[in-house]
Amino acid sequence: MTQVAPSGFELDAARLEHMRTRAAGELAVINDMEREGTIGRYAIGGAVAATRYVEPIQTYDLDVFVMLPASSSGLLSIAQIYNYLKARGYEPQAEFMMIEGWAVQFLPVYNALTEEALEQAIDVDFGTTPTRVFSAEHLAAIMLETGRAKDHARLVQFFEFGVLNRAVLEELVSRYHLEEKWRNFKTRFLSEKE
Amino acid sequence: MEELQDKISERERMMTSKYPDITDLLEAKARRRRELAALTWEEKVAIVRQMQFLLPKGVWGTKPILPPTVKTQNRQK
Repeated sequence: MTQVAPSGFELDAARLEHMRTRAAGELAVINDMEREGTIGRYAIGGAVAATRYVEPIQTYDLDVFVMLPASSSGLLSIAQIYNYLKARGYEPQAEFMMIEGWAVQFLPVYNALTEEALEQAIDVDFGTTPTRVFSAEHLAAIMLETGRAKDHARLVQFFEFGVLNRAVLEELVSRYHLEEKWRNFKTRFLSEKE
Repeated sequence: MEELQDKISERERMMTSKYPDITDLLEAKARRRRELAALTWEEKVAIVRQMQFLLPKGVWGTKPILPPTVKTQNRQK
């Protein structure tokens, strides 16, 4: 049986199922890490999260934002994640950990915006595996803040597909002092003027 | 007379426009993007992973491991 995705990719059912299973396996490993306390709360951000709201986006890795538990010295370290995974046979590759064939990048929340995005991440199911993703508005605010060309391109897609609650986004813009970036984005990409 | 006018209009159109009209292609593209966006997240993630397989060798360090059935099916194509 062949399923032809509208992208033109031909995905036979076995391949599609295989990819789903491996992605679910990967999320299950991360769920185990959370349950066992190696990481605190986690949520998926970046392109894979954005893909939940718009069309599939090519990306190399899965960005997993985490709260790190403090070590005995009181310091937060990502080394415990690597040690945990290496002990289970997963190998690091550059800045990633390869889990079930996919590069996973663990990113500790690095400012108040990403911390809130993690706190308010949405509980979703990937097949039967529970996980969390950033909300569309938090992703949009992070894209505005980061401001690379690819962030702007993705943000344009969010508007194109109408997935944002603009009032919620503008509230985040105001609270995280992103007004100037928001103004510039609106002028450049949404043809809006103040 | 009307036929002649049509021929003149057609000739004028051909003389003024040397590029093909690709409106229908652009519409199809936009439609395909909307269809892709409407897939389930799992389906979209599967496509994202499929896209990784299309990257040139060396860009992505790890060769995807496919189950034997999938490898067989691919060879038969």
